[in-house]
Amino acid sequence: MMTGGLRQTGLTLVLGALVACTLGIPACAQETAPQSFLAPTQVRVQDDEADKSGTRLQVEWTMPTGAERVDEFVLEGYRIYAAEAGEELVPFEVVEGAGTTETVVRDLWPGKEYEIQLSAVYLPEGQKWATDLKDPTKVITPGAVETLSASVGPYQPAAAWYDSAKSNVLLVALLYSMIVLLCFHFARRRETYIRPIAGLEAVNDAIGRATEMGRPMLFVSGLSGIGDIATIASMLILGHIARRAAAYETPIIVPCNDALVMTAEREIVHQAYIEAGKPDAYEPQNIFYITDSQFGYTSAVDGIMVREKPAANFFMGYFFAEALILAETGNMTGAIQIAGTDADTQLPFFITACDYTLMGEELYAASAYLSRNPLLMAQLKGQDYGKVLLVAGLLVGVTLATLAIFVAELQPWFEKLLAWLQI
Amino acid sequence: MPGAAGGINAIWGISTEVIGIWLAALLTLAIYSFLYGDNPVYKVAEHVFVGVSAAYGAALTYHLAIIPKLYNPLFRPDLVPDADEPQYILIIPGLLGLLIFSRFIPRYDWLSRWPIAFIMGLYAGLSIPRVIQTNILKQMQATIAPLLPVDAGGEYLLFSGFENLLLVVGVVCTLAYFYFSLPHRGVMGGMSRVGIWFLMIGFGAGFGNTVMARISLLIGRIQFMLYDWLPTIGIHLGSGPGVG
Repeated sequence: MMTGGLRQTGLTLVLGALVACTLGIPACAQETAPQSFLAPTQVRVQDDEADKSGTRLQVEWTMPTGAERVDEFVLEGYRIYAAEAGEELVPFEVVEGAGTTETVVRDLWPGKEYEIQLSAVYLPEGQKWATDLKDPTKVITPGAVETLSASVGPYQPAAAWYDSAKSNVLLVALLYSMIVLLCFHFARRRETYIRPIAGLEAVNDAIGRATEMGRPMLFVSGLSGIGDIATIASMLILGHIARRAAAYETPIIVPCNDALVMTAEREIVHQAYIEAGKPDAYEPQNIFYITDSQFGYTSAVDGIMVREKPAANFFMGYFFAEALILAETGNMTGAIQIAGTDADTQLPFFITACDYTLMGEELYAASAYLSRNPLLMAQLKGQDYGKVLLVAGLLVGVTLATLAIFVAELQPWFEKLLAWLQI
Repeated sequence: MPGAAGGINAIWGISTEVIGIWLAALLTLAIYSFLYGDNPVYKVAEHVFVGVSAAYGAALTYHLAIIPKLYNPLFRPDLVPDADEPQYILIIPGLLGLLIFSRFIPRYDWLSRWPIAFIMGLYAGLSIPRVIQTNILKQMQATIAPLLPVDAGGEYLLFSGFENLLLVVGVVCTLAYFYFSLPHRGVMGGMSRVGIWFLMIGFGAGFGNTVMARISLLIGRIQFMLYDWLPTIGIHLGSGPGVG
C-alpha cells in the first residue's frame, strides 16, 4: 500500500550540484560537479509486494540519455537515500552498475512514511568502484562525484497480516495439530504402545545407583535458553528425576548457565519434592546459577564433577562445543552418564563418552516415556503419524520426479510440488 | 611493540600488552593443569573464569540491553534515534522483567512464573513455523529428486540416481528408527536397523570433522604460547605462522 506520491516531479533539480563530501564520499571533498553531470529522473517508489513484513520499498528510476559518460567520468552506480518525512536523508543502499535502474530499499520500519532520494555516482575513468567495509553504503573511490535527484515521497512500506507465501507452513501446522488432537481423543479409549528406549530405561537405574552409593546426581540442562525446545524437554526429564531423587532422598545438583532456566528448574524440582511428599527435603541452593559464559560454565561443572563425584550425570538439552569436555570429565570420574540432545554436531561426542545417549527426538519422547501420561503418549503417537505422512509425501514426490523424466505431462506437477515446498 | 615500558600503557614499567600475554599464558597453563587432575591452580583459574565472565555478562546486559533498550527509550528519548517521545509500551516488558525479582519475597515468588511463561510461550510460538520451514519443508524439498536423472544430452546419470536412492532410503529408514509407537520387529525392525547405520555413519563423519576443528583450536593455543609468550622471556622460536 502506498500513501504518498511524487512530491516533487521536477527532475534533476540538483543536476551536478551536490558533491558527495557531505554525503559520505570523502575523497571528493574539494570537487564540484560540473553542470553536465546528470542525476536519475522519474524516480518511482512502491511497496515491495514480495515483502510481507513491511520493511522494504521498491525503487525504480530512469537515467537520461547520454548520462553514462561525462568528460573523464563514467557513471558506475547509484546510492539510495531514505528518511522519515522531514528528517535528514541517510544512505540505505548502493547499487553498482550504470545499467541498473531498480533496487529494493531494506530495513525500513513498517507503517512509517519515508522520503526517497537517489544519486548517480560518477567515477574518474579507470577507477574501480569501492565501498567502505564498515559502511557499505559509502563509496570510497577517490574522485567520485555524486549527483542527487529530487526527493520523492512520502511512501509507506506496508506489512501484511497474512503471508500467502507461507501458506504451506500453516497447512502443515494445522494438519499436524489435527492429527495430535485426534490422537488425544482416541487415547482415552486405548493405551498407546511406546517401544523401549534404552537411554530412558537406564534413567531409573542411574538414580538407583546414586542412591545405593550415597552420592549425589548431576543434571545439566544444556546451554541454550529457556525458549529452546531441547531445554523444555530437559526440564520435563528433570521433573521425573527430581521426583525419584526426592523419594530416595538422593541429592540432585543442577548448575545452570541461564538465570531464567535456573528459576524454572527450581520451581520444577520444588514441585517434584512436594509431589513426592518431601517438601522439607528440597534444597534450593543445589540448583544454582554459575555464569552465561560457555567455557566458564564448563570449567565450573568440570570442577563440580571431580569434587562432588556424582554417581550419575545427566546431560539433557542443547549443547555446543562443551559437550565432549563435560562428558569426558564425567567419564573420568566413573559416573554413569546419560545424555540427550538434538544438537546433531554434538551427538557423536555423547555417544562415545556416555553410557546412554538419547538422540534427537528421543529426547522429546522422554517426558511421555517416563511419565506414561496418556496425553503425552497420544502426542507421541500423533508425531509418529506425522512421520508417516512425511514419508508418504516424500515417496510420492520421488516417484513423481522420476516419472516426470519419462512422461512430460507430469513435469508441471513436479514443478508445482517443488514450488509448494519452497519457502 | 605498542605501549613501551614506562609509557602510558605500562604498569610498574611493564607494558600492558606483555602483562596481558602473561595472564593469558598462565591461565591457559592453569586450565590445562586439569589434565593432571583437580588442583589448586585449576581451582583459581576456574573461579577467576567464572567470576570474570559472570561480571562481564552482567555489565554487558546493563550496557547493551537495560540502558539502550529500556532506560533510554523510557527516560532519555533524546538519546534514541528515531524516537521523539518516551516509548511507554516498554513499561510492560520492564515490569515483566522486574517480576523475576519477586523470588526474593517468598510470599510473592509465584509472580516470577509470569515472565518465564511469557518467554517460553513466545519462543515456542516463534519456533513452530521455523521448525516446519527448515526441518520439514526444506528437507523434503532437498530429498525429492529423480531416481533416474538425465543430463542435458539425454544420457542417464546412473551414479546420481544411486545417490538419490541412497538419500531416500536413508531418510525413510532413519525416520523408521524414530517411530516410537510400533515395536521394532520384522520390516520395521530391519528399517530401523538400517536407519541407525545411516545415523552412525553420519555421526562418524561429524565426529572426525569436529575433532579436526578442535585440533586447530589447540594448535592456535600452542602457537600463542610458543610465538607470543615465549618471546617475552627471551626465547625466540621464529616468527611463527600468521605472526609477523
